[in-house]
Amino acid sequence: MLWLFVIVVSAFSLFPFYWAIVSSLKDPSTMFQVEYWPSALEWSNYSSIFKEQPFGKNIWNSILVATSTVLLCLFVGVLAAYSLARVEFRGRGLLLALILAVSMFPQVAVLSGMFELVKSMGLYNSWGGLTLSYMIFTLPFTIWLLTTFMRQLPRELEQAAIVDGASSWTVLYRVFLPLMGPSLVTTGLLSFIAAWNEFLFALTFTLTADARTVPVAIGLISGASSFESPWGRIMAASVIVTVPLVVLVLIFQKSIVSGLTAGAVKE
Amino acid sequence: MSEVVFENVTKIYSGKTTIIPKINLRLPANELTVFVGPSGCGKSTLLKLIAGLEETTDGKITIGGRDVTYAPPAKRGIAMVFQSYALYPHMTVFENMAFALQIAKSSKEEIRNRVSEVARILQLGPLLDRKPRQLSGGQRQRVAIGRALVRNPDVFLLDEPLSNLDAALRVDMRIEIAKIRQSLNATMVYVTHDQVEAMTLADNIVVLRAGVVEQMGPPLEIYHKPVNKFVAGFLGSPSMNFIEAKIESVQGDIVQIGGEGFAKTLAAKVKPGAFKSGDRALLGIRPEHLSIESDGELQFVTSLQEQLGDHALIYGSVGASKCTIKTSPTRAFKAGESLSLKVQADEVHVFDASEKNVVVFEAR
Repeated sequence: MLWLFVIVVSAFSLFPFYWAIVSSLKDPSTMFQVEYWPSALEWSNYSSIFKEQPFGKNIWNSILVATSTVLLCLFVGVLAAYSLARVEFRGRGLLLALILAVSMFPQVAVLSGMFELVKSMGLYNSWGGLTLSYMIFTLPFTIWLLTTFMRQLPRELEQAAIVDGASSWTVLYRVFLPLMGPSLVTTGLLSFIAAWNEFLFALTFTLTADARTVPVAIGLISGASSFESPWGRIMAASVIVTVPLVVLVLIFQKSIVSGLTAGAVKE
Repeated sequence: MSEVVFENVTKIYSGKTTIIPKINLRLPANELTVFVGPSGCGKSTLLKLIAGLEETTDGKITIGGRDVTYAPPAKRGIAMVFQSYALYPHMTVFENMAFALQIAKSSKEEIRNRVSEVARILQLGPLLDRKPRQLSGGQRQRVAIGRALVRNPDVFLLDEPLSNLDAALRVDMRIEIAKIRQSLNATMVYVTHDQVEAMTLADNIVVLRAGVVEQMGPPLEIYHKPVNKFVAGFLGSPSMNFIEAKIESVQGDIVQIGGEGFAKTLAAKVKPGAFKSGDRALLGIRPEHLSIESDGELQFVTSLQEQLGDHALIYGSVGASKCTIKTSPTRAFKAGESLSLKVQADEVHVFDASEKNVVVFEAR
């Protein structure tokens, strides 16, 4: 009975992805015939997205933006978490609450202000503008997660390092960082996925096809005429950009689980 | 020659909670001083003040005559062993011990020599490549001590180092620490709430209560000449009996103590003017200084007996006060049996209304 439920839920969540794969392998002419199993493997959708637009460049943009977001986010996040978890100062609780509050605004609300900011910094239509704006939603949960994790590291460990002559910087990168692997992987991966899938900022802060990231590029794929919907190519592109995420999650699966539940129970 | 001196040291947390009101303390060089006291008495805080892990609110701390009040921990010539060992989990035993030397930028060869020398003393040689999680509790403890020894400290601080070990291992490690102490030329400060550790390891014991030094002295002096009821009750196991009594008469500095449960009065020499006839007093006598003899001073009513093989403990009461006797193995007593107890006269303590011990020790 329970298994039946599991099967139903899995089918429900996996079917759209399966449908995308099947559709991407269809010839445009057979696109609207309902088939649950691809009858003929048609790879032209995959090749045409690279030919008719700079999709390779778009993927490269996405990798660049997502990776730089993760790196910058972890760097700032670790430093912020160290001070928020370990240094006592006035207004620490308020600051933590504010950081959380930042992530509560809907993207649309900050869009126009962010646009002006990105433009004035000369980052419009470049990956730097996207990286910077993505910090808005990746930094809050990164800081919160890392702060919580760092609070659980025993204080005596830090004191031992201080007695051994370590500076704050040494404590951080030689004692704390090696112990924070799982939480770094978890927050890094969540940031990566968020940056990889983001659409609204990417659409607004880029202009030319060469500067677009994958979600925008897919959204703007157009057919040969306005009467043709290029579903096959859209599906092919979607499958291509999903694969890296699946691979990443599979690689880091173990660390994610241990990272997300870290500190849930006392060991 | 690194004497540790506290001069008018105060520690106040976040502007309001006073942990150490104002303390003056001199910890002799190359001796082992033990801080004991109930939890929350400030003993660990004092240790952290020496280490520099807590900021001194007011006053001055010197190590070997050098003012270190505001010096960073690494510049104080100290090393510390933590209660939880606080070994770096991701480093091997070797790396744990080498960490401080690496930060101090010692040469590779020097680090290797120093670590292997300490490893030899502590018999850690075969464990150098292991991670802390692969070690037993006793081994981790030895690594923690080793990590401190490697730094060749002037002052060696130990914060309840044995409290995470099981009873049998604790005895072994206690003996090991005593051995290390003999071979080490350093001032040691040891915090514990275990009075056996305090009695066996210490050159000097400092008994603390609420951030105030109640008494400081060699273990046997604290044991035999406690200055007040708190110190008297804190050291010794089972702890000292306190029997409600009354001053029957005063003649010069000799008082006669009697009251409920007394078969006859007990004479004691006290400080002049401590009592007048009719005052209430507290008679303090350790369980091992009471013996079951006919014609004794106290009337004891038994309630429970524990046979421990080499000795026996008998619990009961004298008058309205609880009382325990420690004797050589003896016959079984029924509950409610009445016994006559003889008090060893030179081990009597008398506490006045303010719980000060007013007995004159010089007479002994």
